[in-house]
Amino acid sequence: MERIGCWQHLIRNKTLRLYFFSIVFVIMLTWIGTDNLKLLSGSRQSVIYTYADSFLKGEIGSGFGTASSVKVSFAGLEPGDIVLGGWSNCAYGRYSHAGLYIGNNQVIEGYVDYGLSVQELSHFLEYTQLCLLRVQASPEMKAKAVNYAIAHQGAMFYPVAFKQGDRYWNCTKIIWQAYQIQGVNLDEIDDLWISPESFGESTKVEKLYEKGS
Amino acid sequence: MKRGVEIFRSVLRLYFFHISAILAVWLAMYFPGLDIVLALLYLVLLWEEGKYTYRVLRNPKRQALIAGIWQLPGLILAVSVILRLDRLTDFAYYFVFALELWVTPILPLISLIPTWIILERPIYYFLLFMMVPILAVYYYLPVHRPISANS
Repeated sequence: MERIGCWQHLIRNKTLRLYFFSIVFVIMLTWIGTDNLKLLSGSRQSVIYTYADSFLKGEIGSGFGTASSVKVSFAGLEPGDIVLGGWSNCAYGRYSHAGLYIGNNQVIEGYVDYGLSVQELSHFLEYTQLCLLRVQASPEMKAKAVNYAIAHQGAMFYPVAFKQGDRYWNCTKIIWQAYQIQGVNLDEIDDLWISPESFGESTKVEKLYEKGS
Repeated sequence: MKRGVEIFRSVLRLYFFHISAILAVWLAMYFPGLDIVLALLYLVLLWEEGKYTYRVLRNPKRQALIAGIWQLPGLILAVSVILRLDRLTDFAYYFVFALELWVTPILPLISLIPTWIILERPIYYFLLFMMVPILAVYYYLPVHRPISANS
């Protein structure tokens, strides 16, 4: 009965109702902050640090630029390789986008309007920054990672999706998770979110090609 | 004048309620499952907020006006994307981003829907647009309920 009374108090009390979510927000922010103190205290590769640093320089979002005209061959790519693309002024690192190569000149990647979806690899040519990575894993593991990603087509894209859970995804989380369940952790600093750049900095990948500065 | 103040106050209450819910539900995604609980609570509290506003104003037209002003940011974003007005700017992609962030309080419930694809788009994409009027109507609906004597 007491619980019902407390519940009704929350619903009926206009002040409590108004401040309920802000109180929950502060509690969770404290909880998550405490849980990830290492990221706040000097982990310079973390997304939070990079974003805050860029923000102070006036850079927000994924950056922008004019489509690159440099021709790059994707001929040597194998399913399971990672493709990174980026514009200058990207606030969260050198690269703003990532895709998992699934063969046949196609990648699986994430967008708000398409969710996790299969797209043409060629659009990565437009980025002024481009990087091709090969994960150091067995062909079987790569095949499983690709299949895992393909099985999530149509899943919800959320730009600031945390690594936890399997209902919200972004372009990097699906790649990280696809390899994570094969036992390959591509996020070695154990960040809250995975930036495309963290794949490039992983010791478990080999850089095949790099364009831009 | 007093009515105007009441409308302004109700709109401010809704914005504060909604924006704090966006932040809370987003962080709740760190704890899978809690986001769904908060999304359900959001709907319960929003319904109560609709009832409360009607008790104060006792005017369906004014309540509809408040609902419209409250969902105006979502409406502008949704219409801009549908009419492709976003493409007139250099940051077109951010419109749909912002729309998704705007409906964050109920996104956990949308995320439970199977990943069907219609017209090459996931079903959740269409729901992002539909949620803007649905939320406004949901807030307005309590005007059709009798006001209890002790409320």
